Amino acid sequence: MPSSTSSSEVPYRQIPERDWGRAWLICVALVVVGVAGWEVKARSMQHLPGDYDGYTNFTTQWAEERSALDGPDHGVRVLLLGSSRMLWAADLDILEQALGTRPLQLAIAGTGPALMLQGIVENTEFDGLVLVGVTPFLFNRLDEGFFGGDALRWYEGASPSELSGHKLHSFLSAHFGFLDDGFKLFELIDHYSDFPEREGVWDLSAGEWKLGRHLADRQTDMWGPVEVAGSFDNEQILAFWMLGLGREPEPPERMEEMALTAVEFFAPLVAKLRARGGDVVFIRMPGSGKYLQHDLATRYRELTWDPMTEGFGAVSINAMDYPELSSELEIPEWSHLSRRSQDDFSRRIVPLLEQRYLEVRGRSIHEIIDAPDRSE
Amino acid sequence: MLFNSLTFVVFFAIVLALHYSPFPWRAKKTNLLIASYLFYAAWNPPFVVLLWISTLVDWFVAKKMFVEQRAARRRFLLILSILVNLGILGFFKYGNFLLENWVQLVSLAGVEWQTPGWDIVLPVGISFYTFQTMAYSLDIYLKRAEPSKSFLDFALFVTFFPQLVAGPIVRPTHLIPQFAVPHVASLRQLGWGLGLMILGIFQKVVVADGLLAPAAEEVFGADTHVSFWDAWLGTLAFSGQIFCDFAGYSTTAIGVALTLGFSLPNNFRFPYAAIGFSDFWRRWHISLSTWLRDYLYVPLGGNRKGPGRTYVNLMVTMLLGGLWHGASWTFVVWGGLHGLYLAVERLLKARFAGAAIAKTWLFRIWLALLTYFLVNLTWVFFRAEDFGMAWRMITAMFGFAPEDAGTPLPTLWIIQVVATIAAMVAIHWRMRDTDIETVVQKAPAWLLGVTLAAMLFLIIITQGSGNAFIYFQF
Repeated sequence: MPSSTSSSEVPYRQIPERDWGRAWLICVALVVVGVAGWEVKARSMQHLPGDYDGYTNFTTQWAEERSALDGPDHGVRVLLLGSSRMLWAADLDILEQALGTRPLQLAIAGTGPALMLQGIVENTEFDGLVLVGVTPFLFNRLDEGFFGGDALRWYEGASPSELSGHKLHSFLSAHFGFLDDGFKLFELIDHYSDFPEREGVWDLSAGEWKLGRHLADRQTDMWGPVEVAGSFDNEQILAFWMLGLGREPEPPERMEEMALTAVEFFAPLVAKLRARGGDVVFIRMPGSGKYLQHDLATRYRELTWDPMTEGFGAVSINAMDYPELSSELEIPEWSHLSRRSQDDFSRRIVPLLEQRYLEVRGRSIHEIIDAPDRSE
Repeated sequence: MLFNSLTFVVFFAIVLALHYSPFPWRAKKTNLLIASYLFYAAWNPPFVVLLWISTLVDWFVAKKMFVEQRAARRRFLLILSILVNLGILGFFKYGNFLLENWVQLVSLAGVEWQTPGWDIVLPVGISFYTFQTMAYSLDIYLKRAEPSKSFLDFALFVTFFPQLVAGPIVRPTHLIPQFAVPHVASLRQLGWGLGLMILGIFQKVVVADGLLAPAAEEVFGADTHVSFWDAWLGTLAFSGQIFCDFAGYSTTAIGVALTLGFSLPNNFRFPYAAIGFSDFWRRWHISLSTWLRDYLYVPLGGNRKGPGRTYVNLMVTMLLGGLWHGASWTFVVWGGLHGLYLAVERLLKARFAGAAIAKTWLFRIWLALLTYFLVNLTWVFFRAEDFGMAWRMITAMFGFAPEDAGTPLPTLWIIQVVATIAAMVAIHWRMRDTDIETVVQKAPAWLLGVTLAAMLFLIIITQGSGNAFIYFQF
């Protein structure tokens, strides 16, 4: 009988008798040269070290930041929620200087703030100030949106290998510019390919684009090439936006219904947070170009924003009412602020916030921000 | 933990360092065992308990069975082992499937059954390690082997991390003896093992995920009909994706084991150059097909009980082989089609054995093309989420797509699919009667270095998105 302990049955593999030392020396030398060249190319195309890429920002980094609120000593007094417009509009250093405390950036691209606010109000002791960025229509999506599902999955429990992979990727991203979603080989091929297409086929080059740089603390800045109006990268993003903007405007009944649904969802959360000493301020984020035209065509303000903010029982700011927060700023692709305008917006929003809060609530916003964190 | 992840790079470096440190052999094996548990726990730590249960049950059952002389008692012990192993597999893998089918069955009888709403998480690779450990008990029962003398060696056999979650499914008589005596890789083994790892990860990251997956996902993700050409391109893309994904894992696993000084068997031998289906199954997922042959087909009677029973045995084996892949009727159809192909092939061979035309190269090429064509039809059922999607694909592939069928594939992806599949099939034909070691043996060192560099560079710049290997779900 064959034995489990006898080596007589083991099919040992044939090993090619080559000079493997020499082969690997050549391999390593070529790879080092190749990667160095690739890194140089990446940097020349403004893919720079320290950019943790979009998916990481919207999922793993978000989960890390969100987890901070679960600890007892987080000391966070101001939260930023919303979608990408809030991400691209906030310079955390400037806001920290103006507010006296560093805000925690919890906005997620392509995702409404509903579930995120609900999670914070219902499941944490947070009693500070929440600034919610309102992007027309996206705000009214009360579901997980494009990245919310992944973000929550990471927050609720990533596997040990996922967590370690994220740490290693972040470490390497801090040193290598080519480790970027927008500089993956097949993303680049898709992005720059230009073949004639059959009718109705998805335009690959409009689907693979880079809009921002995603830095530590989830600080998000517009990517340089996108800021240049008429540039290839700028045009790609506009082409992508047009896919969504080409649809028929929503009918008035739908706009009113969206407002009602939002009030039903958000008003109790606002009341609950206020009851424990915190508060929420809703800020309609600026837009331009075709997005603004679409907002006007659908009468978003009259049919949705106004009834919504009235029903929330919260302080609200419509950036479109303030030229210094909208028309005077650069919005190179109709939706997000340029790096320079991000600084301007961050500087200008705080005094307005203080003023509006005082007008509506009759007290200073700093009574909330500077209050001792009861969760400490 | 995925081979194509940064975590694995660090993990593997630590494992290699420990394996080549001056520890006694027993300490090195203990290191490998702990590393294997960590490798598995990296997905979902509590599921390591399942490995421990399988290990303990089969260890004790096999020992008892070996010394037991009473046939009834031996059979009882075997059934105990099978019940525990298949019970775990059945609960985690087929629990929801059985429940859903039960509900549908009783609803046919007019009974409204309320399900408890199970939300069972499938432990990664459970089908692989269940079959591997069952082979141990079955070998002892069938008196094909003696039990291992060392619990450490047996535990390592069950959990050896390179092949734990997606094979190759290794026989106890092939692996346990390697653990019994000190094994460290020679420099040649280390060099070739690392080369196989690069080749395997290249197949997965660059070819499967980068070149082919987008087209396959686009076509199989469509919720409406697609055109004739798109259906074929999507299916061909999937045929390449599934091969490069799975063979990539096996090649990497073989390479990882080799760097540690251990030999694992080949799991693939260029299957898309197969001429006929018995040839295909000698080339595709060899460790599963031989497992099914030795532990299912042969015990059922194989071809020893007459033609009729042979066909039944073939069909039963392939249907269960299909179900092994996943808890869905589409997998059963996939297995059933392969069973049917094998049965028809057997019938035709018996009837036309020795026909002169069968030996001509033109006829062999035609047979090979027919084999690849029919294999692609089975991939539709393997990949489709449901029969609706499978039916839409099959009708389109036979030219019955409606006029307004979608054409979702961009030109670039069409070029990628056509070029990659053409290259893959050509390589399979070039390598049909040889193996990679023989080819590499003839290559100069500089060419090996440049080839490895090209693959490694492409892996690095593709970056990958950490996609799991498809076979992890099986």
